[in-house]
Parts: sequence; C-alpha cells; structure tokens
Amino acid sequence: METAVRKRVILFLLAVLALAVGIGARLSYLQVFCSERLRDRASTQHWREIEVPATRGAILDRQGGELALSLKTESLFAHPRRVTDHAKAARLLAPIVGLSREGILERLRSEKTFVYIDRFLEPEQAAAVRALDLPIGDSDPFGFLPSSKRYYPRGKLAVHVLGFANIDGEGVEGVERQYDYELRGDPTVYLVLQDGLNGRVRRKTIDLPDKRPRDLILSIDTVLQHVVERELDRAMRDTRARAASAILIDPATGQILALANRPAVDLNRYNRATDGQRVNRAVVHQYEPGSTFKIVTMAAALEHGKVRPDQRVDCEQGSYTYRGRRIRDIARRGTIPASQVFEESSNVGMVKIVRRVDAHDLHDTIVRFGFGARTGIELPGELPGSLRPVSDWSAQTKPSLAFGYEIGTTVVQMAAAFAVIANGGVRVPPRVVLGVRDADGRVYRFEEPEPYAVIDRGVAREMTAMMEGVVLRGSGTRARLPGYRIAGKSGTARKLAGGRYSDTDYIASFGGFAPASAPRLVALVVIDTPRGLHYGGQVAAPVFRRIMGDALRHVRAPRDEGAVTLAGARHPARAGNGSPRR
Amino acid sequence: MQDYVAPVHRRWVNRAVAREVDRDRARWLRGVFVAMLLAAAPFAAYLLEQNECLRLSYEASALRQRREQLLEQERRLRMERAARESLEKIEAWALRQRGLVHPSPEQVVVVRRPAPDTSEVRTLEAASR
Repeated sequence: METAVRKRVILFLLAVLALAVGIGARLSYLQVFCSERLRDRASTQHWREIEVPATRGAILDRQGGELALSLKTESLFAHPRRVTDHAKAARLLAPIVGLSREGILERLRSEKTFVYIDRFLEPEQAAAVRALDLPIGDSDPFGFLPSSKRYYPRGKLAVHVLGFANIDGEGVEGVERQYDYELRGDPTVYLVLQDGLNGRVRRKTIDLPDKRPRDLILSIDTVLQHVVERELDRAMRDTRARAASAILIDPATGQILALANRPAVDLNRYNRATDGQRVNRAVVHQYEPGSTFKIVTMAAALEHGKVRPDQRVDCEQGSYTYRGRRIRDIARRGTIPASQVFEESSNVGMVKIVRRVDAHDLHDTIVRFGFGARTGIELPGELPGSLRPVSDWSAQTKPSLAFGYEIGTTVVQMAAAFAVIANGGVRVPPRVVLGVRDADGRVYRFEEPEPYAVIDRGVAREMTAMMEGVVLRGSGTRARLPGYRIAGKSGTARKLAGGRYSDTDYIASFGGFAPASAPRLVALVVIDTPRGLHYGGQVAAPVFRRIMGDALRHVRAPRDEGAVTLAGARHPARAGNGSPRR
Repeated sequence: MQDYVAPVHRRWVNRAVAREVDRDRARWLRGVFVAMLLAAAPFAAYLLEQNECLRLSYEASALRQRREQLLEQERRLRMERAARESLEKIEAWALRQRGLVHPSPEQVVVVRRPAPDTSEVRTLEAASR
C-alpha cells in the first residue's frame, strides 16, 4: 500500500518536472531565439504611429476678422473588396453622406482596393456614420481619415486677393498661393501607446514639425472691401460692362485697403468658376489708361519746368495735327491755362505740353512713378505693364503717352501713381500683406517697403490743385462729394481690337484721393467696356464718389473746411461754355 | 449500523501543549519578515507609481483630446461669427427685410471721437513682444 502511494507520488513529481522542463524549454526558446520578433510584434500591437496633418493657417483682415480658415473634418473611405453587403452599406450611408445610393454602390463595386466614399464630412455626419451598423475601424472595410477643409466665411468678399486653396490644401490663387509656405505646416508624428481596448494611454512626439502653420494678416479692411464690391456690382448692373476693377489705398503706407474685380465668384464654389471670374484683373490685366495717365505726363512737365499751371496753351479749337497725326478734343477750346487743359482733359493741350519734355526725362518720370515694372504687390501673376525704352520710341510715342496710349499699365500701377501725388510726391510701393501670426499668437510684421521721392512736393501740390479742379469744374464733376475736397482725374481709352482701336469698346476710369487737404484714401475705378455712356467722368466717377463717400465716413476722415457743395464752381480762367466729359 | 467504539488502553492524555516560546527563533522570523517587507517596498512603490502614471496618462490623454475638441469648436465658432458678420448679408437684410435706406451724404454727420485710451490696447507690436 505504502509503496503504491510512493510510486504515484514519484510519478506525479516526474510529470510536474517534465512539465516544468517543457515550459522552461519553451520559455528559453522564446526568450533566446524569438525575443526580437516578439518584441516587435508586441510593440506594433501597443504602439501606433499617428500622423496628424497640420491645419492650414487662417487669413485675417487688418482687424483680425477671419477671411479664410480651415476646419478639421473626416473623410470616409472603404476597401470595396472587403465589403460584404454593398446594398446595405449604400442604403445606410446615402441619407448621411449626401451621395445617392447608386453613387455609393458604384464606388463600392469598384475594382480598386481603396475608395473615398465621401470627403470632408462634418463632425455630426461622421458621428452619424459611426453610429450605423457598419464595420468601421482600422482593419474593417470602412474607415475614417482625418482631413481639413478650407472655408471662406464671407463668400465672395476679396476673392481675388484671397485666391483659393484646393482640395489637398495647396494654395492655387491669390495670397493662398503666394503665401502657401507660411500657411501650410508640416504634420506632427506621434507614437501612441494603446491598451487592449484601443484606448490611448500615452503619447510621445517623435517627429516635431519643422514648420508650424501661420496665420496671414492682410491690409484689407472688410468694411471698405464690402463697400467697393457693392459699388462695383451696382456699376456692372448700371453700365452692363464686361468687367470692372476698383482699388482703395492708404497713400501714406501703400497698404491696399480694398481690391475688387468683377466678375467674381463665391470662394466656396471656386471650382465652378470660369477663368473670367477667377482672374485678378487688377494685377494680371494691362490696359492703356487714357487720360488718367495725364497725371503722370503733366507731373513730368511740371517737374522738369516745361510748363506752369497758369501758362497758356493753344488748344487749336480741339483739332491739331502733329507729324501727320490728327489729335482731337471733345470740346473746342482756344488758348487756355495749362491747369484748365488738365481739368478739361484736352488731348491737344497735353500733346503740346508734353512735347516740350525731353523723351528721356519723360521716360524717367514714368519709370519713377512705377510703370514698366511690377509693383511688388504680394499677388501672383502680376504683370509689369509695358513701357518701351526711349530707343524704341517712334515720333508718335510722346504725343500718345501724353494722353495715356502706347503704354500698358495695370490697375494697381495706376492706383499707386495716384497715391504718389496724394502722398506729396513720395511713392510707397503698394502691398496687401502686413505680416503673419504664429500658433502662439505672436505677430511678425513684414518689413515696410522703402518709400522714395518721385516728384517734388511742390509739384505734387500743384497736381493736387489741378486734380481738385477736375472735380470742381472739369471732367470729373460727378465725383464731387459734399463736405470734402476731392482731387481726381477721369480717363476714357479706346480698346484695341484686332490691331485697331475700337469705336465701340472703351475703358472708362476715374482715380483720385480725398480729403485733398490731407489725403487719407486713394481710389481708382476702372470699368471695361461699359454700354451706353462710356466716358470715365460719366461712368466711373459716380462709382468713385459712392465708394469714397462711404470710405471717408468709415475712416472718420474730418470734413474739409470750406469744401464746395454740390452747387459746384466754375474755373476763373475758363473761356466760353461747354463742359467736355472725358 | 452500530457505532464501533474501540477499547481505550491509552497511556497518555490529549491536552493542550504549552509550547515554550523560542525567543531567538521568533526574533529571527520577525527579522525575516521585516527584511521581506523592506525588500518588497520598492516593488510596491514602483507598482503604485506605475498605476498612478497610467491613471494620469489616461487623464492627460482625455484632457488633450478635450483641448483639441475645444480649439476646433472655437475655430468653428469663429467661422460662424465671420459668416454672420458678412456685411453683404446684413445690408441685404437691412434693406429688404427692415426697409432701411442708405443715408444721403447730407444726412451724415461725422462725429469726432475722443482719442481712445491706448494704454490697454494690444497693438500688433505689443502682441509680438
């Protein structure tokens, strides 16, 4: 009996020993031969690498209001081959994701291994999808990828300044493109320790972004931008024009407070826009400015002492032949002061004045005003305009330049030229971006452009007085604003069509600044191919007046003491009647 | 079944044994116990610390997630505000729904504002410092 028990005990102990040896051997095998592989497997099960894409920086107006910003969204994808019940999935998803059942089915029956069902789902939509009876997860047929979507909360406001960022978050137009580097950031990569229920226990950053996205601060004033766009819309309706542009500039700083073009498109529907709606005409379109360019040629003549405002010029009763070319005015004028030549926009008088200026001096002044070169505004695709070197000038170039032909300018260049006179002859290159703001709220202002003198301060004063005369007595009376002294100049240029100047298509423009005593704002309105009335003084000046009226009120510009009322005034030296509107 | 009772022929009597305390052995045992406690203490502290660390990790993770949610919510609210501040919509509403009209230039009086107290204003320059 006792022997039997002992045998059993020994057998049991041997079995336990064998088991222990087996376990030990297995453990030794796992520890010695498989340790690396198993460690890696455990690591991949517990630690996950997660890449969090950076959210694109916002674009702000000068008051810090959002013009563009990105929000986090989620994109729903599927592995079509792993989806078992296509019909059920399509039936459940269709009411939530905004796609038809057929559309979803088409994607699910794709031969591809990965398809997006819908991109950029709002958080509520994503939550609703997650609540469905569908296999959604990392190793399931359906899943979510983090994404971000660009929003432009103010619709089409400042569309041509902002531009557009595409579905992949790349800037393709406007400052979105020009400052893509600043707005975009590198993704952050995290290593996340997960528990058995996929709960995140610990997180450590393994790849810090070299660059974090920054917000862009523009010089645009939202209120002024709205005023300009509203008035351009109205002008487009009233004149049935093909296109229009307008700019508001602070002459002292060169900051563009508003820039708008028509036609335009809502930024949230940018993909559906036509090329005509997308193009920023103010910087990528050049035109012959017509009589608004007389501010440059008259300034050149004054600067080089070739004329004085009170010097009398014979306007040949509105018809003059210069080297075989007939130059005409609307009004028939005899001998009138140079200031009146300018106010009434006499082409004959201007040709006679400008021909006294040396070609190189004229070219130099035009270049110093900023023509023939890009202004450096921070918008992509800016054209330099066209200004031929003096060596390429023909006998007709100087007289053509006298009233704004044979030169190609952009709207921005022309507005900057008006700003030179408003700023006492000093040019501050125009700009639309003030600086950037980093993720911690620190603001970095960009370096201010270097101002330089273009014309003498006294010449600028004389030009201002003559431009005031344009509005008081000359071709720009429709730009008058009660309580303010306005200085301006109208322009009407025939468009080139098929190598010939059109008799029906014009570019009407009006530029100026106010209050003339201490200019706060410069505005330029350019209307392309208006129907019906087509002179700048008739078509563009009223738009200028409405914009300037609201803008001066917005910036709380004090009224000019002794400014004229709508009753108007007549030029003391004017001979005869009639009021040409060029 | 009848109970079987064995005849009693024992020469001893069962009774509680009063064992003499072996003081040396007891001291030794106490020493071993204390030593074990001391040896186990770091492990216990480590376990407690690990547990606390894990708990705090969960908490930090939840707070981080909450922070990201709030930041995102703030961005959404900012967008909502910007959309509602759209002057185009406000003007259209004022003109069409409320029947307001733009004032004529003569009706507008520009009021000079007193110079604002800039001591508390955060300028761009101040913000950058």
